[in-house]
Amino acid sequence: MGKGEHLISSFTKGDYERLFLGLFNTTRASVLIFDRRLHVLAANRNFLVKSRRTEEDTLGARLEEVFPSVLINYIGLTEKVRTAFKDSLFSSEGQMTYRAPGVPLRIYYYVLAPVSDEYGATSFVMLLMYDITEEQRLSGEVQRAERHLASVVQSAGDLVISLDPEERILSWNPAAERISQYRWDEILHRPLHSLCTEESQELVQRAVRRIVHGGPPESLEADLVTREGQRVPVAWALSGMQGEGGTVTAIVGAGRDLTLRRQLEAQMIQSAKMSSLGVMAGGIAHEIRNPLGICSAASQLMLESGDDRELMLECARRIHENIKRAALVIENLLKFARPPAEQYVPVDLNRIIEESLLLISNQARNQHIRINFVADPELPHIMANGNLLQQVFTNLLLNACHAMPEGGDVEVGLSQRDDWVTIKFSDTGQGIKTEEISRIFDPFYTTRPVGQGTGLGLPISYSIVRQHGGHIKVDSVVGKGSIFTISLPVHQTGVQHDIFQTDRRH
Amino acid sequence: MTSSKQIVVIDDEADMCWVLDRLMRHRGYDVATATSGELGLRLLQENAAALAIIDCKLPDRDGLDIAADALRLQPQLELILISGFPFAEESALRKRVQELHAHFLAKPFEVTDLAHLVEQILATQTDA
Repeated sequence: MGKGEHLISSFTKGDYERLFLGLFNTTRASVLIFDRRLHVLAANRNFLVKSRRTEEDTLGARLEEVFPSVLINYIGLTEKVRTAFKDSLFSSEGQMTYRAPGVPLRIYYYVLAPVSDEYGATSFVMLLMYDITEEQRLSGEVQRAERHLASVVQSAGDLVISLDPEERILSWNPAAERISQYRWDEILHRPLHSLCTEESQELVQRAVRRIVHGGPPESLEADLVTREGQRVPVAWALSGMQGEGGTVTAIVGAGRDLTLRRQLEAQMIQSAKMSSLGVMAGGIAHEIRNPLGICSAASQLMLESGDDRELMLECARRIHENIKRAALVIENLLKFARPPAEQYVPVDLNRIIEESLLLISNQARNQHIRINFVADPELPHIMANGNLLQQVFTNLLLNACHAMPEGGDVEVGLSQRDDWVTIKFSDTGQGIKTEEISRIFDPFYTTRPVGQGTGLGLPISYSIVRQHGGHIKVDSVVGKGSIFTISLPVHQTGVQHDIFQTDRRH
Repeated sequence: MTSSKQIVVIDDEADMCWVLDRLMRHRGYDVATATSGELGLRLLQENAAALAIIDCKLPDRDGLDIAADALRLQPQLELILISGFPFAEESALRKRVQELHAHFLAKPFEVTDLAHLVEQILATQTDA
């Protein structure tokens, strides 16, 4: 029992015996004590229970009788116990797996410790076995789960990142490295917003702040700027990881590269635009041939004018006017056909509606459709992509014309409430059947004969309005007409309002 | 060429009316112009025109309908229809032009072609 330095000096021998037995039988470890002949001198209760043995068939039994020979050979137990008897300073520890009869395999951490007498010679060897099966299983599971998660994160096609509560980057997966062209170690501890475009920096910062303050997960679109300076549109889903006590200790972000989707959307928008152009081509031809006809006739009159300077000047003036008119038609046409720019700038909806009306004016005139639109000079400019909105308005107006083959009225109304602007297109056309209303925004849904409608006009209008953070809704009564209402957020600061105030006069 | 030959021009383009008026006047015809179908019909009712030059697209009514009405008013009336119509409608248009026994010119047209046509039409009318 050692030299007794750590023991309480007032203990009697009887006290030590009781202490030993108490420890011996209550410890979590399974304990065996061998004598010099490698016979079991003592076995604690825990050992007997775990190994399904009784005191009778254990005490006095040889080591080889207590453990399976495979185990003894595998860890060299006999040798180790012998060495411990020879060298009182020897101790050994390690892992062993042991299956007692009728019991599932258990994993033990064992310690083999010689107990020496007062002269330093080993009198017993103690084998302590700690059952670590559960711990092993749990840590194995944790490791497997960790490995699994890590491989998901590593191999994900999406950006998977984590941030500390100060928005600094903690992890950055290979997809994030590939898309941003920044290696993980280069951007470690940099705030996420510093990798975003200027317009989206505040958005990111605010979202992270809300999450840190216990807010729900956020979804937002924030464009990354790559090392090469390219913008990559990314849709982010950010959520907080809560530590103990509910405070947010980290933020996990998953981001999807929208480049391809944007390209497809742009292609779809472009093709829908081309089909609108096809519908408008006839009207446009007429719109250009009229001024051309005048120019042609007036120039021939000019040739015949002889000395009549007055007539010549009048001809030249009218030719000039009509050339300008034809040029304007072409300019509007090109404006409509141009691929959309990505940027949102303050735009005047009055002007966009007027341009759209100009584009379809001939179509409307041919079908004897009266258009009523009163511009609202008080309307604030809104942050938008004017080309895209013009496409939406033109499309809705063409649809209205299409719904009124016998002529009718179209009214375009503008109104503003709080931070929203509403544009209402009402027609006196055929209306849309109730069962069709739910499908009109589905791609490729069309009620028109083959070749006369792609079924993409309204879905694309819908997608454009949604891109602007707005809504589009339809009310329709068969035989009476339809009303399409578009609501768009203003998203405008006072500064921009002042700058563009003067712009409105022309 | 007699000065009694009157031509009525119906076109919603005021500039076109002006140019045709000058061109025809220059050639010795008497010209009256109107920028809508209804105004044009009124002109035809008030004047014994020999020829009407009508644009197919008018703001108030279809130019071809105006032409048909004009023929009912005055069966002797000669017609030239002009249009900047797109290709898609052309065959249907030609058919209606034929039914009206009218002549057709596409915009933009050569003034000499128009002048020649007018001269031809009015000459045959005099002969008749």
